[in-house]
Amino acid sequence: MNERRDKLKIIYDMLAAIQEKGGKIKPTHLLYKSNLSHTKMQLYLNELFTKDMVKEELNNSNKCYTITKNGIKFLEDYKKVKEFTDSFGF
Amino acid sequence: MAINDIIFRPTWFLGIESLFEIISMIILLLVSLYSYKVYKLSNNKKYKYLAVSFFSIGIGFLFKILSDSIVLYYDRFTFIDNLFRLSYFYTGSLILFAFLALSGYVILACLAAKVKGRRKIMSLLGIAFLCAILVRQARSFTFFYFFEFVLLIVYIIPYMYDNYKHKKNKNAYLVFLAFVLLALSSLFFIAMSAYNLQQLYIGGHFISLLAYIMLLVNLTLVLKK
Repeated sequence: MNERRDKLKIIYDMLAAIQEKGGKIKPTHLLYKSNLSHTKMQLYLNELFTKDMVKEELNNSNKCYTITKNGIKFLEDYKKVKEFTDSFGF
Repeated sequence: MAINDIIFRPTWFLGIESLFEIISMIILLLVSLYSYKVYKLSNNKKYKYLAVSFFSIGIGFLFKILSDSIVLYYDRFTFIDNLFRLSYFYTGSLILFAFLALSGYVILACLAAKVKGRRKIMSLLGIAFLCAILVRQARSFTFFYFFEFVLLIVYIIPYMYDNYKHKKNKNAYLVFLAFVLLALSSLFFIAMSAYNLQQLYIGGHFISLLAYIMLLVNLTLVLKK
């Protein structure tokens, strides 16, 4: 059975999904890729907006999410953070 | 006339002990800083408390270094006009060291044992305060090391062992080993108080330095990724 994803992993999966799509993703694709309910995804997105990791943009009147420098930095830092959290286990 | 030292230790070891404590303090502050960074990134409050606990132990060492400096260089503390006041300054620093270090361990124990509720945490901090006060009243660090040992053996080490068993990686093993070594060093210090053997005090310091080095190695491995 799969282990429940922690918050950090969910954020990583969302950002990685955006980056895989060339740094820009449609809301429906992100919903599918991040494997979350719509409400949950909005909650995490709001956090990503406040931390300036993701930006909302309008592309030909269609909403899309773009990864920012902070988001890319998080993806780079994630492995270190994961290693650190695994070593203490909290 | 020199300061009446509470700790039973060889005078020649004082400078080396301070050096060990400076290294330990730097390591603890580095781990605390990185833990705070993890909290900022993940918003996981446990890492904020982990940062606070390491910061508390680290700052505790600062007061220990200050008290050691008073014993070593008491004649240079001329801004404190008499020996009576200087001894207050000395015991005050030791009490602060004991309280801050034990508070750090209490926070770690609460994190490991998932202790919730203000009353439970406050009562553990109360015991930490009592042990710190007893440093002055009983002129002994036995209670301090005993409480530290209990927190490590009962709460922290079993949690770290479970984490290592679950994650089965080098980093988790290093952290587990670091806390085992800290418990072992506490035992050395308790035995030193019981048998009045200064060699045990020196041994305890070497073991505790090794424990902090393990934490540094873990942090270095993490940052190398």
